[in-house]
Amino acid sequence: MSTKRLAKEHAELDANPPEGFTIRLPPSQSLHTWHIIHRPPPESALHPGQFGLVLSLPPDYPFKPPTLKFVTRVYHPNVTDDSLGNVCLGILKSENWKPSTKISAVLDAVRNLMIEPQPDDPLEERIAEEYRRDRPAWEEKAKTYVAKYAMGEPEFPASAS
Amino acid sequence: MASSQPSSSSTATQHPRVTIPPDRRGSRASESSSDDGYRMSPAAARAFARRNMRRSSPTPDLVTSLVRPPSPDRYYTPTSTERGGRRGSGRSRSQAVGRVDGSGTSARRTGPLMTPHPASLDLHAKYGGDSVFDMYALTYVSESDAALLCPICHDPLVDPVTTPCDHTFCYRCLRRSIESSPAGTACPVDREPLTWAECFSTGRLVRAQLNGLVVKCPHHGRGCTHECKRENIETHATVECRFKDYHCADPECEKKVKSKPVVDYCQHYSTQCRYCDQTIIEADRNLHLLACEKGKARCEACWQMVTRASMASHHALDCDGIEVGCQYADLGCPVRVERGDLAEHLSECPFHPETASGMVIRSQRDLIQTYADLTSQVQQCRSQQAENARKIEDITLAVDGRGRGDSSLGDHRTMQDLDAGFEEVHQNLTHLEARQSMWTMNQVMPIREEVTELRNNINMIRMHVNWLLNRSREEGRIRAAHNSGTGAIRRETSADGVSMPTMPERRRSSGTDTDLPRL
Repeated sequence: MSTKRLAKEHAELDANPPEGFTIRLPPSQSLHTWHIIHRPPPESALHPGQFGLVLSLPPDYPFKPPTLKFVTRVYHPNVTDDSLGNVCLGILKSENWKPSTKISAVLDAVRNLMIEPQPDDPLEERIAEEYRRDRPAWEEKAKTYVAKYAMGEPEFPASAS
Repeated sequence: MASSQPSSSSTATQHPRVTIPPDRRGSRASESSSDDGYRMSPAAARAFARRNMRRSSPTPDLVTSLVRPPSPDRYYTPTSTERGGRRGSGRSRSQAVGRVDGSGTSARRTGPLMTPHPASLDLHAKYGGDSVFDMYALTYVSESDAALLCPICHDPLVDPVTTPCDHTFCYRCLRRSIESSPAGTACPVDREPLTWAECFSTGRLVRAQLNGLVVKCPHHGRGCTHECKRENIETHATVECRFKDYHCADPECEKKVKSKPVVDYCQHYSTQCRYCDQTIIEADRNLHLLACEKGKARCEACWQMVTRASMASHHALDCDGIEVGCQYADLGCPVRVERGDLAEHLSECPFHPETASGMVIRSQRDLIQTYADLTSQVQQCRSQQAENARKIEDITLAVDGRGRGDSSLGDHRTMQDLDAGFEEVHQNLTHLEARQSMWTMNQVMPIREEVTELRNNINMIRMHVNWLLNRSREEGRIRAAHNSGTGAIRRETSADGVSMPTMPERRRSSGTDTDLPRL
């Protein structure tokens, strides 16, 4: 039921992708999983990296929020520092989600999060603490992570769920 | 001229209302400064206004919640001014005779909720939803104005519905949004609280624009090149389009089917409806399902799937979307809420008999009831008294009439009668007495005469006897004289004897003499 809107949004984003994002659809899958490659802008500490994200759109999208996960490790207060890569994004929380929110708005929020982490609403308390207290140290570590994990083409799992 | 006058006056009455919204919005922005007493959220205030409005309509529950009375401007006026405005508009309407529904409807911001297209009701395929013409799947020829797009489906609006916070969505999108969000009551754009009952169909202008959008025939994939206005596409696609029917999957079968066959055998066989056991043609199953009495249909008020046959009882008893009156309405609670919110309202209803206010209200109502009872009793007593008085008067009248005309007169008459009777009796008595004395006299007189006669006779007889006696004595003495001695003595004794009887004789005669004159 939501495919029409999804197709429309995908067509819009495909034709006119937001800055720093590349959107691909995984082969032989429905519109409900998107593979997104994000290159943070130069003002971000994570600048040169390429981050792979998987956007999963539930069947009753847009009435339920999509879920977004990093497949590339990133040293960031709002992204879990593990293989799951869960992201804490305000507009994707179910209590804040509005059916009228477009995916482009979600992507804009991701870009803003990469430029400006939100240490007040962290997923990784330790990184948030470090970001608040010792920003250069965090930037240092983040750049190490970028150099270690995010320099090549991100690899997406075969079947993202 | 006559037609221009009402319109100018209606714009004049409309004008102040148009100026209210910014005022009101300002008060919303600085809510803390302008709360006078009871603070309400804007949506609650609107809901309140709306309920007030709806409460005043005399239509029964079902009708008010399914087909709402038109009320466009109502949302944007605070309740107090809104009430005044309504009263004012009513007055002006009554003054301006002949204006059709002029200021009355322009005072409101809500509108009726029109019957949606069947596709908006989101019927599941198993209830025949597949055979409903899908207005939501149309392909538009040109990119339409972004203002006409639904924020949810990002397509031109279908059956547009506007929320109290002035956002517009497709009927189906909004219902799905309400259905899917856990609270169910947030606007999909700004998360303002919202209930379905407060939403209304978007204005005619918007609907006209949407209906004018040019769409492709849904059968364009099969070669139809027809393009027409959206309002006409359903007729085209279901009636006119020559691509509307599909060949039956069975090449032997000549008949057509309405939708693309999904199985590779002929669908034209008889089968039974899985709900009502009626015999139907498999190919027409969906059409039957849309009318099947035992199949389910969407309740437009609460969005539940309800068996068609039980729709009426569902509305009357269970539907949470139907507006009902508070169950303490008889205690004076004016609130009307949807049945689903009734429990919540009851928990805070000031008329609830368990709360302090409820107890006051109840006691006051009891008092009022008692007063009313007393008043009625007094009135009853009064009427009874009046009746009694009337009865007494009647009786008095009757008694008076009888005393004057019957009894007292009669008494007098009887007395007179009696007097007369007495007198008569008296007379009769005197008469009788006289007669009796007469009779006695008549009887006694002859007797007395006879007695006198008898007495005379007796005296006569006595004198005769005396004469006879004397004669006899004389003769005795003569004889004695003749016989010597003895004769002498006999003479003496006879002399004595003669002298002797003469004395009593005299006496006797003297006695009779004296008696005679007496009689």
